[in-house]
Amino acid sequence: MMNVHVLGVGQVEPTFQSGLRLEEMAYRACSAALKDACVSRGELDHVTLAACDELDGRPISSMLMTAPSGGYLTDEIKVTDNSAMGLVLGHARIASGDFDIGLVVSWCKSSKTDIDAVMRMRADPFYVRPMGMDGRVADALFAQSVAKRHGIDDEGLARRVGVAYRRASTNPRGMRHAVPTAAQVTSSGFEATPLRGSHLAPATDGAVAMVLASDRYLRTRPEIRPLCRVAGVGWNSDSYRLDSERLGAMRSARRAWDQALAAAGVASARDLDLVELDTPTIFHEVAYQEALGIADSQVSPSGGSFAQNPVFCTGIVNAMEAVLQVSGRAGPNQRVGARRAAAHGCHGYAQQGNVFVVFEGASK
Amino acid sequence: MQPTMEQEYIDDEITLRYRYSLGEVAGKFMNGLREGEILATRCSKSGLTYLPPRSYCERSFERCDEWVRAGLEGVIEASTIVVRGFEGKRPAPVAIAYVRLDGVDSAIANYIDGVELSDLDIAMKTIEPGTRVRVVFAAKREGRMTDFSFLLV
Repeated sequence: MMNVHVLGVGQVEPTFQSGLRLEEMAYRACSAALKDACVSRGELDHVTLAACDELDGRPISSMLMTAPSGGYLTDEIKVTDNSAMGLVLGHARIASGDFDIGLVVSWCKSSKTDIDAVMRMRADPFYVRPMGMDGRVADALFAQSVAKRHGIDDEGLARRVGVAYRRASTNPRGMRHAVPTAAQVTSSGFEATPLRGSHLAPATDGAVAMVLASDRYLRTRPEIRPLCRVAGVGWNSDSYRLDSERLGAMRSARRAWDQALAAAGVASARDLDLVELDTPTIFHEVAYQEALGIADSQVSPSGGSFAQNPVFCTGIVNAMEAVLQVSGRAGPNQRVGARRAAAHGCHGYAQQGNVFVVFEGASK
Repeated sequence: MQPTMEQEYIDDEITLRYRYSLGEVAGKFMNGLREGEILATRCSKSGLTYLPPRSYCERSFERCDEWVRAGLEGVIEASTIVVRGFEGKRPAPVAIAYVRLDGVDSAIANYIDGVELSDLDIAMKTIEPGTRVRVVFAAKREGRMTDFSFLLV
């Protein structure tokens, strides 16, 4: 299997409501990534898009989005689970030996439409849609399971929310939201019990692109020094059911995690310097840490979803942050000596699907 | 004349109507609701009984080959009181639970009626997982999930 390397990353500065149209966002992110990688568009032999048609507001948005993503007259493919899955597909295409140099790009304008309505549309129309099931209701059911299993209370959650925002507050690539006080967190109203509005990572607009290349490509461009290697990928999907067994087991997360770590030759979380987690709510942070054995000191130096949360796109934002860490370019949020980092993306009701990608920087 | 302000957005609304086939299983389930019974499917290979009913077993990947009547009492597995941003059939706040009815192996979602919701902290405890509930059917049934709800036992 061909080694896959990251040569460059680019992002559009996150906002609550971008005035850019999607084509402009993709073009800017891709141009920045190509510039970072010292690669020209003409060299690309493929592009991988990751986007959500319902949130984009047009079906098969790749018809319009391929060209601004560097894909004019180039092999293009698209995934719609989450942006981290796009990265997995981009990785697979190069690892297969069929491709050598490509872009993975994802965008999401969370501000564009009613995300709850989109999530309601994903509910099956027979059994749960009549109840008004949406992402927040599913997250609340999950939150109840997490709170019960791990014995966390309002005060503990408020402390965690504060820590998450403090981590995010120094990230120059994030939103630098104000850090809420514990009182502000605990006094915020419920969305759906036990989930308070303050427990949710604020949704933002954003776009990220990443240039991936094979060993074979690097041999043709000896002057290029890759940022890091994609050491392992893992993904998994659990049942659509939301009963207590499914909500409490974290099965797809554990399996995706195990797969990614095994591929990277990593035994456990202890062998990673950090993990950038996709946490739509603070309850998710608790659940992933507990299920995967991730220490507080390893969690999302970037601030993760509390730095920016372009919903569909958050997984690849995490990947970008992990790449910057292992290449020593994370700026104020840099972990000294970080060499091996995992990034996470999740999708579906109560994270039915999970993706982990492990990045490994050059030995120091 | 030059515009005084650059236009930033164009609003649009797309309305689509869908016709969803109930299929070989959901249709029978909905007819059962009209008759005041809750029907589940069972896979003889895995031994699992599914509610909502499925035509296949996600474990064995065989067709579910048996219909069984679910009990009309069960236990709450997951619950929430939806306070905001809710667009179900009823105005918020509403209590919703996934309940595993007696005799089946998976949980089905519906409203819990009769819960005092004025104090959410107390209400949350009232419907916490492990609480027993019973099925109550609507007087007028139309073959929809809203033909029944749960009541605390």
